[in-house]
Amino acid sequence: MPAAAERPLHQDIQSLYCDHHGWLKGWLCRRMGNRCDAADLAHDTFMRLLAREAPIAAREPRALLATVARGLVANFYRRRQIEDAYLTALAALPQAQAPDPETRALALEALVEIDRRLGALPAPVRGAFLLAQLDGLPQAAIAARLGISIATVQRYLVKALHQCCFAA
Amino acid sequence: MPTPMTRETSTDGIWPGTPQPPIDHAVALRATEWAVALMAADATPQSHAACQRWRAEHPEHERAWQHLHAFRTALATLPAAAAHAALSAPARTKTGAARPGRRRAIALIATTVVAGAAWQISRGRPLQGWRADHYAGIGERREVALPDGTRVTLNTGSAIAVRYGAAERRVVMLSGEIAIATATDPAPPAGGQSRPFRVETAQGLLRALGTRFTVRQHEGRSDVSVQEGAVEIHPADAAAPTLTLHAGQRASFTRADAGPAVAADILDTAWRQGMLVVHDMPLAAFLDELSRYRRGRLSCASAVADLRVSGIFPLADTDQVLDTLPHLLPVTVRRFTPYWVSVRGQ
Repeated sequence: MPAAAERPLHQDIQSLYCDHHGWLKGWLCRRMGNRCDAADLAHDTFMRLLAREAPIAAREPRALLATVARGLVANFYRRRQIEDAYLTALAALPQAQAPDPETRALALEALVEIDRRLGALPAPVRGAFLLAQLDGLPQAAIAARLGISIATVQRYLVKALHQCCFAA
Repeated sequence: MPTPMTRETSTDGIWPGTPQPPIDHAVALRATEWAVALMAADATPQSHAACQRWRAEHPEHERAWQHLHAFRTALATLPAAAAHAALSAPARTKTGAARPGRRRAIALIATTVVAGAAWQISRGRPLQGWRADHYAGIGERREVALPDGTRVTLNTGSAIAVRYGAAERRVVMLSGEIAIATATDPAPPAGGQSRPFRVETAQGLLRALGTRFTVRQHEGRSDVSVQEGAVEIHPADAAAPTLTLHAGQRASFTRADAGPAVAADILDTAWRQGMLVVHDMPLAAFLDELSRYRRGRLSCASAVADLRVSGIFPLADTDQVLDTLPHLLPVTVRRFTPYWVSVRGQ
């Protein structure tokens, strides 16, 4: 077998696809218990690899595919979880405040993206950010609610806002 | 308090992307610190002035500030309580559990369609608690037969409730677009006339006079297009029917009035064959049409919004339609995710 690093990137992916796509779909299907979602995520896995700049020189191609796919599965469920929570909360809104379907779809995309950017910030940091930016609560009220000082609230807000607004 | 925020009017949507070129880390951090400091209750006119000076010091400072402002403006457009609930959902740590995904996804589409319909209606009339009897999800087209043999085709993202009673046959339009081919009433009341066939939209009532026609629920108006027979339009706030449409005619109506009747548009019926047929349509309107058939967001840069599109496009694969756009017009199609596509100039 020729050295992987010497071949063009796309050809790498192509052979990876031919050799392991079936296996990956089966692997995803067993994890997700659903053929359609598995096929979508298998496709996304290869798209993700195609988007990479670095050459794929994996000695264990299936381990690489599984690593990428595992991340996509987590995103998939997280997205669904956000969608569920969002729709449930919307259902409780007075009718006058409820957004139209298009606005709702856009908002959901935004929420998934914000969630991704907030990433693994500690719960109080995330909480302070949501209270300030979404609910418009004054910093003193946030401090009282979270049982922390106003200075800490400000530190949390800077951290979350910076990460959420400027992170790639 | 943050400065008053208005909804972005740009067709590029609510979400500002990552700044290009990237903003220096230290500058971005400083801008964020300013923003948080000025949000504080004890922010003084002096600190506002100091922030102004900082912004004026360097174009990059101002760029960081503007980006921050756009981002917070976008956040302010989200429904606060629901967004808060969604973003507070604890992250799942274990993802291995098998779930009945597809059925669930369909149920979710149904919920979305029905819920969306309820909101749409609530704008125009009191919510009557209708539940959809038939629906078609995004990108779906579905044909159903009603008890009297009337056939209804539901276009993408559509829902109807069927209310057949002793005095009339009524279809309540909850959302979207339907095509109807009425049947002769097989069960007229004893000795009486056959029950009238009516379609109720948020703006009024349509009476079918032996016919094939399509109805589309827009925000604040309904469109009717007649292919065969005739349809009488009775706007909700009018005392009597105000317009009768005949085959080959279409009209829009609001709660107040209907009309005028104009020549039917092929767009009204082509969807039944799974086609989007447009002639000389502004690109922004074309993308609005297309986005009815796909999930997620499809935005159009204002610079290319007025380019004209003509053609026949298959609705089954909207991604393929998007792929052909750059061959027809001087545009590029950027995909951030499968659910987030934007069309811009080249």
